[in-house]
Amino acid sequence: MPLAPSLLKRLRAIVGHGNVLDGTVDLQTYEYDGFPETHRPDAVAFVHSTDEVAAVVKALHEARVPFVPRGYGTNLSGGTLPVRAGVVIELSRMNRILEIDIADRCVAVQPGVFTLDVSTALAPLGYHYAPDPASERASSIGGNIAENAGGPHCFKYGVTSNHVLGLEVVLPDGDVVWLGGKHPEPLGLDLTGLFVGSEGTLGIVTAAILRILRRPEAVKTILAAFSSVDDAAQAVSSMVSAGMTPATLELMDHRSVNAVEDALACGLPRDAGAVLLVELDGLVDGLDEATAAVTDICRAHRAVEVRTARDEDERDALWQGRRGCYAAITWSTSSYLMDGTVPRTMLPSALRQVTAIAQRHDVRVFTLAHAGDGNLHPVFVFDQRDADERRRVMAAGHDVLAACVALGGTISGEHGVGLEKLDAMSLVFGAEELRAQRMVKEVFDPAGWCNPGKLLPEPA
Amino acid sequence: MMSASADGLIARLEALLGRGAVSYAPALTIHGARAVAEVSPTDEAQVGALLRIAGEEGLSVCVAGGATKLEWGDPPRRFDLLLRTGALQSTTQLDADDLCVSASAGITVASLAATAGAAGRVLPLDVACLERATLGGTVATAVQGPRSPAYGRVKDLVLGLRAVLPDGTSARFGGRTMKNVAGYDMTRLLTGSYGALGVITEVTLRLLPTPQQQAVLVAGLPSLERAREVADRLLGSHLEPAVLELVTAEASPLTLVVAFAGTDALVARSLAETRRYLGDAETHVAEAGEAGRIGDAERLLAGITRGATGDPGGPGIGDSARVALRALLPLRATWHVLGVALDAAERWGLRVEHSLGVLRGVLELTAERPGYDRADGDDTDLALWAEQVCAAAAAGGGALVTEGFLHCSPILGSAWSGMDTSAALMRALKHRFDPCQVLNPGRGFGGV
Repeated sequence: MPLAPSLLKRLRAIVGHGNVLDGTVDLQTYEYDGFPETHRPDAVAFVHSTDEVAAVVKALHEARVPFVPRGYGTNLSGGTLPVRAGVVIELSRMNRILEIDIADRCVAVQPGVFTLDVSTALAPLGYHYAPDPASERASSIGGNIAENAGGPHCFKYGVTSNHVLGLEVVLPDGDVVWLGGKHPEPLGLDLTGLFVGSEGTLGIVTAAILRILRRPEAVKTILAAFSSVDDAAQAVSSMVSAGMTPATLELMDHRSVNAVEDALACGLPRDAGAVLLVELDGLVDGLDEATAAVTDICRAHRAVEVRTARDEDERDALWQGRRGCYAAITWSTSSYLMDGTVPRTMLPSALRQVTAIAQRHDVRVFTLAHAGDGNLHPVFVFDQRDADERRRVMAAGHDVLAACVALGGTISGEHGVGLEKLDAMSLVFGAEELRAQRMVKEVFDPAGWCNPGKLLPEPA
Repeated sequence: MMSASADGLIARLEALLGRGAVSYAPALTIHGARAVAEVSPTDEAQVGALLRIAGEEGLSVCVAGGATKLEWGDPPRRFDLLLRTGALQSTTQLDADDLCVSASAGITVASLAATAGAAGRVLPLDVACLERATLGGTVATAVQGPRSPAYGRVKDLVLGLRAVLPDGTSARFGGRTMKNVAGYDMTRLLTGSYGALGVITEVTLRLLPTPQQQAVLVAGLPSLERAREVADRLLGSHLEPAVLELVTAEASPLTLVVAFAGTDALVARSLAETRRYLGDAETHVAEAGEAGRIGDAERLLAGITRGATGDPGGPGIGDSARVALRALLPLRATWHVLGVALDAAERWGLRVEHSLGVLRGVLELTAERPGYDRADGDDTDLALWAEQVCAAAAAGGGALVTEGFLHCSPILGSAWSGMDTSAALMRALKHRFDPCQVLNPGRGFGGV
């Protein structure tokens, strides 16, 4: 149902005439994100300031129209899809770094800043913002906060939630509040912590204070090739139990390595059953010993090759391979990317089950993993035109999530529930636990217009 | 309040818990207030049943673990039952390979740390009175001590928990995985909630590997300016101190404590570089742990950093002879607020001890008036001092909570102070989760 002309007029008065789109062709651009479904909004409003967001939200609240905040649409769980139509509030123009505060070790940024741009701006000063989702060149800080994004370096540095100190938020009725601030320890109920990962269902972030860290003095990047996924996964478990804390512990299986080599030719060993990308960072002192220890564990788990990047170029090539892996797998095919997570010692078992599940459903799977965190990213590929294959892929996906839960894990490590995993929520939560979460939603958004149909399944 | 006619209630409590688990003469008080009965449930089901009874009977319940932080925050608006969590002891599931542990809320931090230590792991909770402080209480208050830079904040360490909500229902949030974004982060909401939204019954926590080497360097510094200069140089370096704290110690009122943990090479380099920042002029330099004696370093550290914050719940607190503050501040503001606190103490003739966490943004202060006469009972100077510190903290963009709320004084309206536009949201959450105000009513920030 198209929006009332009076509402469109009000929105245009707030953000400027050209900053509201409602033509069909324009809207088609906003009907998708990284999840394979489409939902078309009634309008898109480009906002430029907290005041504009507050005024737009207030107008929509009064008109009882649903709205969805959107950064750059890289969401993998359908979190940015307007499932009940309404208005997409587009935040990409709020893309300024507001303040760099070295003394307090934090930065203040607007939500539309590209994640990587924060660290790029900090690099000359010797600092960085640690969370680094593979999409960091294309995803926004606001989106990372909404999803509590992770990334390879989270093994050592933690996820987005560990790095957000304060948030300016427009609540679903248009009120503006600050949660937290520049103080590292929260006061009272940790609403900042609650808001991170709330998938745009509790309000819209209009500014964020992020903790920043000193860039490490030295970095070593190691590539280890194994003849099987199992050997690589066992090596990861051994490193974790030995108490090692590399900055990253990334795993790619044989198919993923070959997809990357076909697309990017990064120099990964094509005949490997799996590779691990291990990065160590910190003080120069002690780093060689740590590198040797990692190498020893890899060799003890029958690594067929272990090499350390000799220079920045080699390091970049290896990371280009890891970061480009998902795109390399999916550039010519439809895909379903999973995000199941297990206790770290269960990783070898979980990866074996993924293989078995793919075989059982007769589907093709490529596997990546933030192995150190026990976070699996199997990528099921399919032909969108083949309804049966699509159905088999979705069934396999569900089995993977159920397997992760059965191993003591959960259905999402960093991509969020969104639209995708609504059904799977009952795998991890009982009725009481879902009810408690609905109470949170009701407090923030009693009318229910803020990103409806996400994160929480409807009560049975 | 519970009336004397509540024989039926007493019967219900005793039927639920057994006669031995209900006491009608609770020893503990909160800001001088005493419950009618103290109850010690032994499992989660009993906690749930108790909260349901409390809801039905219109009683309010305050929760205590080791009772080491009971005097933090405001007095309860109503206080009928004291729920002790110490008998919740059934679970300790430690997974050394996975570096995590799940344990019942009533287990003491010391006992769990010993269990972790025996498995070659470190329990990353740094609390005072760890022989008494419980896991549940530590997570409910989210208080982390000087080792915070090495350990992380409590909220970053809790992977999951079980809790009984105010209506008596049990819920499990989070789990044993390092990452988890399924649903709202209820674990974070309950961590540090001071028992406002639920009674934590079990916690799953990250463990850390035991470092190969650990060392502590202690230096007395002549002035706050000089201390800040050294701290700034450390902050600007590549070193990663496990502890960076400016404390009051016997040898010097401005003692910088710097600890490092890691490989031998890392610790050696870190010590050498820190000594360079301290310069030749500094004295009172002591070290421990250089010969691989981690235990020595631990003891030295514990002695120094605990001296400043004292024994919570010790004599004086509640009697207004002494007030303790815990300020949560932007890193830069910690220095300014400490300066204000020291100046004001001099003006009022108070003795102040402090622990300034350079990297954790926490400033812990205690002030007492030497020769306090209890009969006199006038604590105006302590209240005025506290008020000045509160104002400085608020101006610096932070907030604070006091221990031993100054009842007699109208100057401080609440144990909590700080600017936060989200207090209304906190109250709304409290109201939604606990409409009958069963749990710890009025003790938290913002009247929660």
